[in-house]
Amino acid sequence: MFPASSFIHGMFEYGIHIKRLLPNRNDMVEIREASLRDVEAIVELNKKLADIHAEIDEIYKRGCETSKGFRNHVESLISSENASLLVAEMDGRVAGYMIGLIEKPRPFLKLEKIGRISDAYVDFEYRKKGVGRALLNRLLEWFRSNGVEYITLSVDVRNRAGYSFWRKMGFEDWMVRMIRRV
Amino acid sequence: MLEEMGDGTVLHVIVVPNAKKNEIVGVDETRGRLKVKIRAPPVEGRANKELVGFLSKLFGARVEILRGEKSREKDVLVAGKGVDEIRALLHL
Repeated sequence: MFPASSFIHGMFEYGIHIKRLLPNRNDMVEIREASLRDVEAIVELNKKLADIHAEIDEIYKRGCETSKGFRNHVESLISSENASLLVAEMDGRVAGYMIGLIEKPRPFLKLEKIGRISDAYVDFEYRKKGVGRALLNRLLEWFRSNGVEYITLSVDVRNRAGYSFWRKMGFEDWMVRMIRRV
Repeated sequence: MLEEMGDGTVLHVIVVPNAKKNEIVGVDETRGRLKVKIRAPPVEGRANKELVGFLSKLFGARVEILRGEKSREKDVLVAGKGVDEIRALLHL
């Protein structure tokens, strides 16, 4: 199965304490749980996310089966209790999406569960309108209602827009992921 | 397996309770029903409740059990969705 986080796996990870609650400043955007009818729109947005990353580094180039694998992955997440797949709808279109997962942390940690944002993307024309913030706020509610204390995510540090967004949303540098050619 | 009713579609399903996860696993050809695995046990309506929650999330629509509350074979209404739409969403 295609790993959801492939395109945003980068060299750094950031953690946030879940107590923080950010205000939703935009009420024009509708945030809702995705259903099967949203799958194609999410796959299209994911292609754009992939293309942006492919410009940064060839490691992100998509394979020919990528969309099919991602489509299956999205369909399975919609019905999973440990996942929340949110879409932002504006002007009747899916403007962005965000995927939250609840996972078991590494065994040496005291935490019983940990949250992870595996994917997030807002289409260019809908940026600077509070869509990402609104998606995150709803996802934080879901994590909180499931007893999650911390969430993490990975962002490629060369993705300046992404890195800056997550910093603004209260995420902090936490762990360094390293990479080298073999 | 799929039947148009009003502005919705009736799904003829067969439920497999106590599953590892909720999922539609395919078609039971002999019964002509969609096979749906549900995590909850068939106790005090828990599997029914989970089936309704699972399908309504999947289709983004109101879902209601019309027949078969006490049986594994159930007829379930997905409101506001046509047969063709459901067929396409499920890749049938």
